[in-house]
Amino acid sequence: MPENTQKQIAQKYKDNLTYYKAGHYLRRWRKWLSILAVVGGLVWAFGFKHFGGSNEFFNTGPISANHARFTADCAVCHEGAVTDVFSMLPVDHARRVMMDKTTPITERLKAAGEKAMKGLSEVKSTVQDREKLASAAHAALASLNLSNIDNACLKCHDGMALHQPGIKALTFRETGKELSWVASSACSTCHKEHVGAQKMALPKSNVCIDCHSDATRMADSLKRSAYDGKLAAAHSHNVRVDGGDLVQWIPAATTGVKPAVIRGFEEGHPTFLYEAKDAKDNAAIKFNHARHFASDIPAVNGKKLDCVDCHKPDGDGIGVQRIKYEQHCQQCHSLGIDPKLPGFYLPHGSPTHIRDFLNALNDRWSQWAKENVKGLDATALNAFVQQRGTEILARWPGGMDGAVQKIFFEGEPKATGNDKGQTLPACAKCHEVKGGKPSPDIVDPKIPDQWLTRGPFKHGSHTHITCAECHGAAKDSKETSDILLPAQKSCAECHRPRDYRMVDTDPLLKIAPTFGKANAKIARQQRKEGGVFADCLDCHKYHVPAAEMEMAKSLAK
Amino acid sequence: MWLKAHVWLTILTIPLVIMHSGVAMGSPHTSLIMWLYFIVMGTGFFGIAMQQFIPSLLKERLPREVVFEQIPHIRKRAIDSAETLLKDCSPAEAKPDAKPDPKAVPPTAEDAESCEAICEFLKSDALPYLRMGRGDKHRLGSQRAGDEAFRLLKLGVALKWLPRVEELQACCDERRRTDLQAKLQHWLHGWLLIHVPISLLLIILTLWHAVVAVRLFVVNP
Repeated sequence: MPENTQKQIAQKYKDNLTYYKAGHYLRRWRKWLSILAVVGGLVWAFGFKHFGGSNEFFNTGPISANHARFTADCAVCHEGAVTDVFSMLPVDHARRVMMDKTTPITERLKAAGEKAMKGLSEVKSTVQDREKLASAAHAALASLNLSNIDNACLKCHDGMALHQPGIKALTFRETGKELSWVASSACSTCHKEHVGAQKMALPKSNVCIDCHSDATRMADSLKRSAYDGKLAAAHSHNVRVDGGDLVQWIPAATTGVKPAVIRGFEEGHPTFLYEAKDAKDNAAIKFNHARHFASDIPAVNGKKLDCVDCHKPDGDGIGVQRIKYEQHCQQCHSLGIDPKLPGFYLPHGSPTHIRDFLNALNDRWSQWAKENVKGLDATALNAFVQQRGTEILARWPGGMDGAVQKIFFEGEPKATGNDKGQTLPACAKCHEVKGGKPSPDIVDPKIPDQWLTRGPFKHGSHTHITCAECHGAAKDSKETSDILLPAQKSCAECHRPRDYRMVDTDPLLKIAPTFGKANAKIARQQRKEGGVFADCLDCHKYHVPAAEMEMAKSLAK
Repeated sequence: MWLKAHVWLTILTIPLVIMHSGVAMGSPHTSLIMWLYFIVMGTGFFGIAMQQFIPSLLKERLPREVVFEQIPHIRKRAIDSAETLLKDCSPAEAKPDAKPDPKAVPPTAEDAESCEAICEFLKSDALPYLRMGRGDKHRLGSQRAGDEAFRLLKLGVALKWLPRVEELQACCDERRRTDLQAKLQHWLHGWLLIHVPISLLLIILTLWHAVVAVRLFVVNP
């Protein structure tokens, strides 16, 4: 029955005009599956705990090795946390009443009903009262924070609550006119847990840069506390740390410095503080680097004098050994007061020791003769000592005062024909000497052991490059006050992400320095391509040391 | 409008979900949510694709589309029509016309042959085809085979039975069209059977996830 007209088409449907009421089976299936999904989902969510669901269901990943001992006890970190959604409902009290099986069921039902009605009426009154609703919402929002977990962290990691700009800045706070510090965000912002069973990884630079690349955020989070620094000065200076042995170079005290916007060590990182215009080395010592590189300087141990003859790496490879007169200077600049006696030297150090040495000269000569001249009897020894006394009195006629003048201030020219280093440069040649009785004073030279105030520097990791590449200025430096350290820009030539546009060879080939042996090729490659690690945490520390916490907190108030 | 908003806003969730998840599946709970999300997105995109070309296919291949919900009714009418023809062709009451006609010529030998041919065709082919759940497996499900079968049938029946045979052919043709329409409609709307319930389940589990995350990690009770 082919149909062509609307009437004919309508004929087909005329017996079934209520078809839309029944709905097609596809629609019916969709409806019932949707109802099943909603009801099933709600029952599952609200009854999860009741059906024996475990907290493991919400565990986002294995606990790190650092916290592996807490694996079975979520509450150590998530103290007071509740995963039971049903407990948030206003009828939860009613449920608890119903769970109490010691009471008869009729009483339970009655009490549960009352509890449920009370809970629901509380919700109703809150919803109806605008002020109540606003205050409940405000309280809920205010409670959204990570302080619970942070507090759990701090139970073990005491003193990690604050972020501060540099540990050294706190250590040397006596020299600062202000202490700047930044409130830290939650521990988990940087320290990610539940991401693997291995040891928890240290935060990467992007975590730091996230804040430090945002000037507004930096300015907003930075607090400054005025601090009456005992040693605060408008110029740089060298300080003995806590009056001890370690000497630290301290930059000029500054106030209100605007935080730099940093996107990486190579982009936006401030210059090192020792690069400041007025920064200088304040060591009370006179040393002319350029003079020591001059062509007329005699060979040492058969070789021309080189940087490493004086600046030797220390045991742990982090720094270089401290310059010591006996190890690094005496071979050329001995304090030989008697040109005829090789090895007969004044002690280097305290002026008092020198005076004591001079007062006991006869004994010193006698001891020298016993050690160096064979077959001397008592008479010969006596004659030797008398001879030395006569000669020295002839050279230094002023007695003790004359000797002090010569030793501390004037010195003596190198004796002709003497090749065993018996020279007597005056103390004042290298030191600042102040006149005084019974002997002059030598000003503490305070040669800095440390220059960087924000982090460590490892010389041991840089032995594949020559000294001159970083300290090239030493060759022409005549003044002690010259700071001969590399500029931040120079460091960033290598310490930056690898620039693959500059890679000539296989880009997958890693740059591997050959530590301990200068390798100009690798050094050149590194400067050209970069690619040497430059994570913030390689130099900087984040947390305030525990010992500094109290002070930091008191200043924060 | 709503459809477009729902599609574009849902596409916007892809980067949000990637960033929120940190490209990790997380706990069994969040993994489940993620899989549901994949299913919802997958069926959603499948649905969008289907809605792009199935309607044009319907228009092209089904010039006489019927109301989808009326298909069972139309099929039933076709079966009824075929059964009526079978009844009319049966030897006992072989009448080409259902209405009794006093002026009708008595059945001839040609009529008897026609009725026999029609009855045989109805019993062996047409009725089983019209009664089948899925007609495309039957030989009459093919347009070409159907046309050929009816051509042969028409050759074997008297002229006066031809309108009834054509009527039967129209029923089979309609059955074929409704089969195709049902098939295309299933492709066009069948994915909603998964998409809608799973979307609702996803919403509930996401809310659950939000509540648990807040309670577990950020609320200071």
